Amino acid sequence: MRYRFVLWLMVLLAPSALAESGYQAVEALMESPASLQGRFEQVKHLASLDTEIQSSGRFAYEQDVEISWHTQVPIESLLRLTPNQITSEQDGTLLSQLETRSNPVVELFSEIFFGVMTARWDRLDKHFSAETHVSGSDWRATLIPREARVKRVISRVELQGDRNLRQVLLYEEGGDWTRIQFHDLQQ
Amino acid sequence: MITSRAGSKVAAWGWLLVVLALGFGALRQGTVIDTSLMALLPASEQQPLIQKATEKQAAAYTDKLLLVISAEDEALARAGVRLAVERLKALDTQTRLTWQAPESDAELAELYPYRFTLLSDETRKRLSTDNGSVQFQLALQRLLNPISGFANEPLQDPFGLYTDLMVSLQSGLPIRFDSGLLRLSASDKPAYLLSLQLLEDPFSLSVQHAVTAVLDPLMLELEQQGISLQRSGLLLHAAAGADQARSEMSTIGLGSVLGIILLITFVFRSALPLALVLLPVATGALVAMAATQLLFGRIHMITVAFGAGLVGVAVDYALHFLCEARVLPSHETARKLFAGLLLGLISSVLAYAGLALAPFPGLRQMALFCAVGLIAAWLTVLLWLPVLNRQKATGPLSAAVWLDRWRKACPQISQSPWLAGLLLILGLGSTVVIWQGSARDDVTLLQTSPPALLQEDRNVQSLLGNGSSAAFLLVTGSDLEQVLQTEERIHSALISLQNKSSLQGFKALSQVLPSQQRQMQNGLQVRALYASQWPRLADLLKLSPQQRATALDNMQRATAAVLTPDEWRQQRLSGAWSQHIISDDTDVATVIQLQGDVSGSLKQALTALAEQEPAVYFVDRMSDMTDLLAGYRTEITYWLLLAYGCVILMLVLRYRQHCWRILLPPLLASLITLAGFLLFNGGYNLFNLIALMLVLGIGLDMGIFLNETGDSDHTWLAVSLSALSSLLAFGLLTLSQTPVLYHFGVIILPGLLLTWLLAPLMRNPSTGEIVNGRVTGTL
Repeated sequence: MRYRFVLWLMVLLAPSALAESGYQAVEALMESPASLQGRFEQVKHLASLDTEIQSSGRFAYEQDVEISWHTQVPIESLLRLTPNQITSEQDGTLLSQLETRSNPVVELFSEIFFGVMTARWDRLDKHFSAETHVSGSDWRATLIPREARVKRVISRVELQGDRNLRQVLLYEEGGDWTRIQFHDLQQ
Repeated sequence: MITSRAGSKVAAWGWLLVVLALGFGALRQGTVIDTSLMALLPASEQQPLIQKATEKQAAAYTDKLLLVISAEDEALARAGVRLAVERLKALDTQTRLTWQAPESDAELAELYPYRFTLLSDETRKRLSTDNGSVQFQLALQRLLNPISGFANEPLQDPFGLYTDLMVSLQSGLPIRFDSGLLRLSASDKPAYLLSLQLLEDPFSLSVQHAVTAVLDPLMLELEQQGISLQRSGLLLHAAAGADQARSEMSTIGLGSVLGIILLITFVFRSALPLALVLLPVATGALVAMAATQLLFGRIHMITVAFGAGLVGVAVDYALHFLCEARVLPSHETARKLFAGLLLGLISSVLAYAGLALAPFPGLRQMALFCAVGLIAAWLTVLLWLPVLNRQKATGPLSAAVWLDRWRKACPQISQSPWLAGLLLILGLGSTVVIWQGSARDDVTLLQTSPPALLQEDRNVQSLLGNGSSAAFLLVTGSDLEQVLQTEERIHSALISLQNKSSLQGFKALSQVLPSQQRQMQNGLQVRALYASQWPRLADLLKLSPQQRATALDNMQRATAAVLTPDEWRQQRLSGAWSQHIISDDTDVATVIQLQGDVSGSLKQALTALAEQEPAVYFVDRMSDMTDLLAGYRTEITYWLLLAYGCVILMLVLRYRQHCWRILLPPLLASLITLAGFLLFNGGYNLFNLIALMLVLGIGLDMGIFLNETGDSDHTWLAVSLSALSSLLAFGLLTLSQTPVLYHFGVIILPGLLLTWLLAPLMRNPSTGEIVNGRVTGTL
């Protein structure tokens, strides 16, 4: 399940400079800022319950230093990533702390994540094949996992954007999906 | 004389029959050669389960070959992996290669039904504090954050306990998956792991050849591209050992054999004496091996190596015979030498047989080997040499005359007070040095691999998080449940050692398979979690009454799902843990592996931990080995002192006030040599002491013969030849790269040389004049 976050973050940041094959056209359209922040709105569809859970909050990242994902509605919760750690906090209380160095899942997550942030797009290309459509300043990309390990957790990713990434759609094999939209982006 | 000749022929044939019978008997039984150092441990100290566990841990190292390919650049390192995989295909029949990440972690999915009973430590902690509210908050956060963990199964595992379990099971792994390859996280440079499972014995020379024939060129090829290849595995050390043995055999071995051949042929100007000299030694070694085999049922490599060396003392017997035979008829030679030979034999056999008193099986074997070998060699000289040596007495050898002249020129200690004083000071000084010297029973003595290869091995193992100390905890019990409960009891102590940062980590079976008692407790904790937190979560998920009922049903089932050891063994995951479970007919034990290096203070802490729990043992193979070496060294020290004591007693009985002439050369030589070695090396060990035994043996023979034959010039030639040939045979081992052989040779070389140089200084001035071998002096 953590994979999903890994992949989600990959696609969140990926399109800004996917240099290989299908990514070049998109890369040309996008900016890759050293820091970025903004608002997000997320809808998660749970197939087994046939229900949707909505949430929203703020996110921010600084290249090579930290990424924070701060959910504000319906509850307050903060997720923070550094190259060494992933921590979960709620109202200032630490809920969990995972070291990237000692766990391959967390490590993979962090490695790809920060690889993307520092514009090492070859790493992403390793895990996904991409199909892109560009019309004017808008673009759309569909990412398909190359590895079975990845596919077992996520079957498909759809991205939309212009100079920045605007929407992410994640599909799982079980039928669940998550849609995230970004607003008010500031560098 | 005719009857005596016929008699000696009968005796010779009789002895041949005995030798053949013994050899045949041993052959029929089949020779079993031990190489395991554990076989040398005293029997009482070895608990069967500990030994089994040790063997099982070692086996993991024995049949695996690990390769680490690294480079400055990732792409380059990956290209190196692909090249290696291509080249290693040639070894498909001897090895099985693993180099790719598994397609999925489906093995872990087998634990899904037990997600509520196999809880990770962190989860247990969260559930036991504040009614599990932290777990509830975490679950909420997972629901809202992109890290969810239960989106797939909100009715099966709403609190994400399975996710927690998976994360905890995969933490502490040294490997991560990088584009399908196994990447080592601990390496600063990009490094990938390849593992070769050997399907055949790593000691088999053909396997070693096949593997090195692929690895060596591969290493060169990679090196040219700037890629480094590091290796770890017993096979490499076995191959390096075999290589070194081969190369030393062809340099040192050949050198000493050539030297001895040249020496003997130069002195006797004929080839037959060489065969006659080697025959008793070879017969002695053979009979000794056969007897050891028959009595012990097996024979240890170390016994053969050192035993054969000690039997080499018997070269004296043959040399005396041959030298005297130059000036006396054969049958008279035997008669004349009989007293000296018998005394020499008794002193040596007594000395070596003392070893049998030691409680170490290795020393007992060696004692038997030496005693039997010497007696056999002695019999061979007395029974076969008179028959085989057809050379008539052909007058004195020029070498004897020349050597005797040199000897006569030496000052005599009894007539030169300053020389006596000098030797006294040297002897006392040496004694002081030895008294203050300490032993160094370093386990590296037993390592035969080149330091570079050992370092390479250590690098690989440390990347995998394994320490070099090979220590572990063994938890014993009557069944697995009991053992797992004990593991859980000491768990917190280990965690606290880990937090004090002295212990890097540990791997215990109870981390994946908790005891059933613990699993039931876990189930109860999860029920409590549902009781206090589930209604809130269900409200948040807006679940229908029916969905809530389904979720509770699922919970009831899963909290009752206990993973039994039998079910565990059916799971694929258990394969990776088979190394941890040790069992024999009555008892079961598990191994708790310790990660990282085990420091001295940690050892103490672990020993203390084991002392508190009677079912827990701290097994430290390295210090076991060091203790083993120290134990053997102490025994040999006592024995050496005992041997000197017995020898002095015997010499006093036979030679009265002249006994110092025989005793002092080997004693002084030993003292000076050991003191010198201590000054340069800082510590002595077992193998130095075994070498001192040989110095004593040869030195005693030298003195006894010189005295028994009235210091004749041919006796002096014989003892000189004997000392020189021993010098060539063992002294050249000083040049060996193998620590054991080096430490043997480095004492023999100066020890024997000094003994030989000191002997003329101690000679009896009243004797030594001979006419045609007839002694004119008296004892």
